[in-house]
Parts: sequence; C-alpha cells; structure tokens
Amino acid sequence: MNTAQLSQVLLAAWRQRDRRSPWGRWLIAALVVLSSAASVLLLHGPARWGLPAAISLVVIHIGWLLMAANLQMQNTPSAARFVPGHVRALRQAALLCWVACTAASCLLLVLVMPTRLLTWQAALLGSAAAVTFTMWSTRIWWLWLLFFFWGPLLGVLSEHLPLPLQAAQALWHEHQHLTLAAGLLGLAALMPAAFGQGDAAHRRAYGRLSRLQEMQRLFQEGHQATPAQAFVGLERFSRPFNAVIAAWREHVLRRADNTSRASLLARTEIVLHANQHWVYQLLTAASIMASLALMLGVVVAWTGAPWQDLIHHGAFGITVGLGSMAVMPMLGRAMLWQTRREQALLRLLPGLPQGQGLNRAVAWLSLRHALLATALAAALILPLCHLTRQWGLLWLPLVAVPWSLWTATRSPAHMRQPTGFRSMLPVMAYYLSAAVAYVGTERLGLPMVPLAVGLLALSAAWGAWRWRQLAGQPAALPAGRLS
Amino acid sequence: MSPHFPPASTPSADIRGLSLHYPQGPAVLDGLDWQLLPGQVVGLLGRNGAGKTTLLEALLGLREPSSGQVQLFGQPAQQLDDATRARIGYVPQHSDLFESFSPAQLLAYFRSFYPRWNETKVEGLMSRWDIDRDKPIRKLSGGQKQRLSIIRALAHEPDLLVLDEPVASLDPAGRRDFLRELVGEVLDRGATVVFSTHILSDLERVAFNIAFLSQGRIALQAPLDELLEQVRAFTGSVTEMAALMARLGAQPLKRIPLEAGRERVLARLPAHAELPAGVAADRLNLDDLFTELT
Repeated sequence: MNTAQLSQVLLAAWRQRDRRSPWGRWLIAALVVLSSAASVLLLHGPARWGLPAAISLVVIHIGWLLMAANLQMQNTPSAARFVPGHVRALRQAALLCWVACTAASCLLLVLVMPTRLLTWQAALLGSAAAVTFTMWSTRIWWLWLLFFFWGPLLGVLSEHLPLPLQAAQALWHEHQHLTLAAGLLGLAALMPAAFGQGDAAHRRAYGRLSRLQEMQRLFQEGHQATPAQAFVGLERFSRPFNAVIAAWREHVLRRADNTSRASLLARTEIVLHANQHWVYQLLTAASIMASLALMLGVVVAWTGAPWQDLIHHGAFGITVGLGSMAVMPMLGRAMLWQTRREQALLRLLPGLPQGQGLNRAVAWLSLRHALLATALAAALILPLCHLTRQWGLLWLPLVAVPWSLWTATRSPAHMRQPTGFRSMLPVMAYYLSAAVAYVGTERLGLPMVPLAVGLLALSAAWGAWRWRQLAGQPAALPAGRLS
Repeated sequence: MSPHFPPASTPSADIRGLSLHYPQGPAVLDGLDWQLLPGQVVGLLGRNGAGKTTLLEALLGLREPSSGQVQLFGQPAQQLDDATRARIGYVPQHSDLFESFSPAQLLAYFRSFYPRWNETKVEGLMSRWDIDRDKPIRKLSGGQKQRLSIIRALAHEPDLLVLDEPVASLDPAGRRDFLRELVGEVLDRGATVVFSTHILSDLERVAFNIAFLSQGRIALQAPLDELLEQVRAFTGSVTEMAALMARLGAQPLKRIPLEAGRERVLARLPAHAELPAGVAADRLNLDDLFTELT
C-alpha cells in the first residue's frame, strides 16, 4: 500500500461525514475541550488528569468506531473484486489504526487506573480486545448484545465454568508476556478477516450492513422504516405485529365519533405518530422483554446459575436498556416531519381542534405517550433497584420527565428536517444527565429523595409554564412549515 | 504484445457450463457457455427476470455458480490477481458510488489504486457531461450518477468493460455520448465491451454482436447485421418446413405450432443462401428478434 492509498482510505471517513448538522460535531468537540480544561483547572488529586484522560479514552473509541464503520462501508463487493489492492489497503489501514488506538487506549488506561488495579499488560490486552471488538461489531451488529450482557455472562462464567477461567488466569500469571504476545497476535489477525473479498458471503454481509445503515438513517430522519425492511426474512416475524396493529386501527375506526375528543385524538395519533405509535413501541418493548426472558431462561437452564445472580450482575446494562423505553417517544418526534402530507389532510377532519386547541392536542399526544413509557420503564426498573440496592438507577426514568416535557411542548411548526445529530442529541443529553444524577447520588452521596422530589416539582412547574406558552404558538400542523 | 491488445485467440471472458440457481428457486442460468473475444462489443438482451444481471455478476465472479467455470483473461474469476483486476471495468445496475464523496474525491480515491489512469479522458468526460466536481454525489441526479459511474469505469482504460443497464438513467443525448465512448474504447484499444440494455435502438447503433439470453442459456449470439440479414420466419406445414430447412441447410431457432398441422419457423440461413423461388419468408427487425428469441 502506498501513502496515496492510505491517505485516501483514511480520509474517506471524514469525507463521508454527515454535512447537514456540523454544529453537532462542534458542540461535542467544545464539550470535550471545556470539560477537560475545567477538570485540569478546577479539580485536584487524581481526578485532575484522570477525567481528561477518561474523556480522551471515550473520544478515541468513538472515533475508532466511526472509522471502523467507514472502512466497512468502503469495502464494497465490487471494489473488493475489481479494484486492485483495495482490500489489502483497507486491511492495512485497519491494522495501522488498530495499533494506534490500542497504544493510545492502553496509555490512557494506565494513566487513569491505579497500577494495583490494572497492570499495563492487562491494559494493553484489554485495549486490543476492545479495539478488535469494535471493528467486528461494525460488521456483525449482534455482537453489541454480547457487549450489553457481558456483565451477567462474565458472572455466570466465573461462577459456573471456573476451570477454563482458572486455567487462563494461571497461564496469564505464569507466562504473562508470552500470553500477551499470543493474545495481541491473535487479535491483530482478526482485523484483516473483518473485510470481505467480493464473494457471495461478502455480498450478503454488505447487503445486511447497507440495509441496517439505511434503516438507521431513515429512522433518524423521521422516515418510516421497520426492522422488517432491514432484516431480510424478518417479514414473517412481523406478521403478528401487523395483525395487532391492524386490529387496533380497526377498533379505533369502528368507534370513530367526531363528537368525541378521545376518538378524534386516537385517529390523529395513528396518522401523526405512524410507525412510532405507542402500539408499535409497546409491541417492540414486549418482544424485547420476552426475548431477554427467554435468553435468561436458557442461560439459567444451561448453567444452573440462580437468576437473581444474573440479574444482579447485569442490572446496570438492563436498566440502561429499559431506560431506552423512556427515550423512544423523544425519538418519535421526528415522525412528525414524515407525516406532513397527511397532516395537511388531517386538519380537514371534522371536529379536529384548531388553534391553541390543536397545539395542546398534539403536545398532549406526545406527552401522554412519553409519560406512560416513562412510568412503564420506572415500574420495570424499580424491582431491579430493590434487588441490587442501587436506587440511583431510578434516575433514568426520573430524568426522562423534563426531557419529555421539553420535547412534547416544542413547536412542531418550527421543526426542521430531522438529521442524525438533531435526533440523537436529546437522547445523548438524556443519558448524560441521568449519568450525572447517578454519579451525584451513588458516588458523591447526595440525597436522592429530595433531589428527585425537587426535579419532579420543578419539572411540573416548568411544564405548566410551557403548557400555557403553547397557546401563543403558531398552529402546530403541518409540522415544519415555518422552518 | 501490449496488455491492451492481447492475442485475439485468448478470450477476455470464457464461461463453460455455468449453472446458477437461487436458494429454493429454479435455475437462473442453466449450463451456459459464452465467450467474449477482444474487440467485441456485445449487447446482452433478455426479458425482465431472464437473469442478465445474474449472468454479468457471475461473469465477474461476484456470484458463485452452482457449477461450471468462469475465466477472465485466463484466470478463474474468483481468484484474479491485481494485474488482471486492473484490466476490468464494471458499471453495476445500481450505483455503488460513495454518496458522501464529491466526484473529484471519488475519482482521486480510485486513481490511487490503479497503475494506469487516463486523466485527460476523465477531465474531458467530466467537462463534456457537465458533472459538478465538488457537489456531493448524493445530490447529483440519477443520470449524472450513472455518468460518473461510467467515467470511473473507463478511467483506468479496462480491457474488459461490463455494464449492466448503463443507459437506463440517461437522456438520449447522454446515451449517444456514452455509446460514442464505448465505440472509442473498442476502436482505440481493442477492448471487450459487454452491456445489457432494453433500448434496442442503442444496440442497433453500436452493438456489433447481440446475445440473446433465454431459459438460462445464450440462445443465440451473432453480429447484428448478420442476424438481420440471415434470420427469416417461414410458415407452412410441418413436413414442408422440415424439408425446407434441410434443403437450405438452415438452423431452426424457434418453432411455433399453428392450426391444421402448420407451423411458423424462425431460422437462420447460412451466409449467402438463396431462397428458392416461391418460398415466402418474412424479414425480422431487432424488435421482432427480441420478442421471438427471448
């Protein structure tokens, strides 16, 4: 590979960036720089340099994730087949990035973690494994499931399959450098294997990757995209979903009554929220919960591990997953953009509120959806908190309340075309604020109950004020007409 | 011998007994034999769903056949070395350009991989086809994307150029320009060009050879002017037709039974064959040939 090829391959990630929301990148960059600078200037002790190092670690891994995903997208079957040296250049670029990211990640880990907790050898092997995992996860999406369940899996393995783990530990202690070298070589060898060579298997894998990315893009932009569109063969599994949704629609339409506000809103909701309608989301959440329960059952049956142990080990990851239920209605707002044509017709529906009545009706549909999702998430997270005694996990549904209020009471008429950054920013802000609250109560010992009551009271007051403001906003529908 | 002008006896592509079927589906290609020689321009014709794209993809090694062999420049299509890859250009049916790149970035990207790159030709085509070099590709029209895809495929001066429905998104002026380039490729460098299309008038303009794909095989391949000259449709009783075919030494291509023991036979006459007096035969144009043979 010559330098021209290397620079072209590496530059592609930057050239293929999303140009529609450049402020998102600037915002993230500013947050990183400011928080690192604030840490150095204001903090003392290990946290002074530890926090910037930790932030840099996260930035490196996110950067590598984006680069790895882009290298995969460059690996088109036809280029792999016909462009001389293309696959080789991609592999060598990936290996180069692997070395750089592993080294930087290891260095930062050593800086952040005390030596008694993490040796440089373990940091190096762990970094290499993380960097390799990231590359493969861009090719095989379900590896992320392993990532989210690594806690319970590790717990189960350590308790119920001790011999292989003990053997690995013994090998590590007795021949550390040899094991480290072998591990690094093995992980490095996995990098070139992540690229296809234009054969039939590559075509299928690339097709799956393209469909997933397209679905992700459509979803972020508020278009209608269902999982069945992303996963060939999933249509048959979506049939029960479609049957339930059709039954719900039929039920609503059979009881249509233009003198009833509830009936009007139910029909409006079908149009406005389309694929983000609460029936879809409830069915999706129920399916995920059923799948998780099934996986849990299989692991319990296979290993004999007590289910409480599994839940305990994986409480944090499961809570983050359940917390996403509360965030889904926020993402669903993008659907308002997609249904603009239907909204113009909807305004002609006899009996539909107009003016401030319409604004409040649209906001109420969104708010009701969000608050019910939050309540359901809280109801599911509560037993986990009880089991693990980590009451800080409740911050996920609690923090969703103000964010839901803000999302629901924003003016749809001023809405701009959703992009990945615009859609994901509130979600990232939500998780960030939940993390801050969690650290505040679980690590810094701040009292949770007064804080939670204060947050809810403030949210209620702020929500009431925003609710009154809705009266002065331009008519909500069609969305985006004033942007 | 220059790599641009390999010996004419060495086929650019050689397919032997190629069969391919989709999982749980019927055979798309069924024991297909096909040879593409240097300097040939071949138009591949077939009905929708006949397997044209599948054949072109199998030809290039993008699909693994159930049986049979495909060789490109004497190498198995699945195991091409870099030198051979550099001799192939491909324009797929659906654009596989990196949509966030600008055309200038895309061309710079691919230029870094090829040992040979005709910058003059690229510049000329970019100007003539009016492609904005700095606009993101996703913002180009379908026709401009198609043209860019063609420029990318022509830039490294391939010896085998495979184009799957290359003119589908082009307006008549764009099609004429594109066809002129194809002819130039053949006349200047002796390249092999194979392309599928449904626009028969384009084939009449440039395709020196026509290949009809039907029922998983190449039903007929011949120079277009020969086909128009030699293929005739005869009508008569079955026995009369059998006798006539034997007498003329004609190659029956298709038989269509009619009422009362009669039939219509589409046959290819030997070169310079004279029809006996009193024998009625219909001439066929390319539209007729397409309808009858695919």
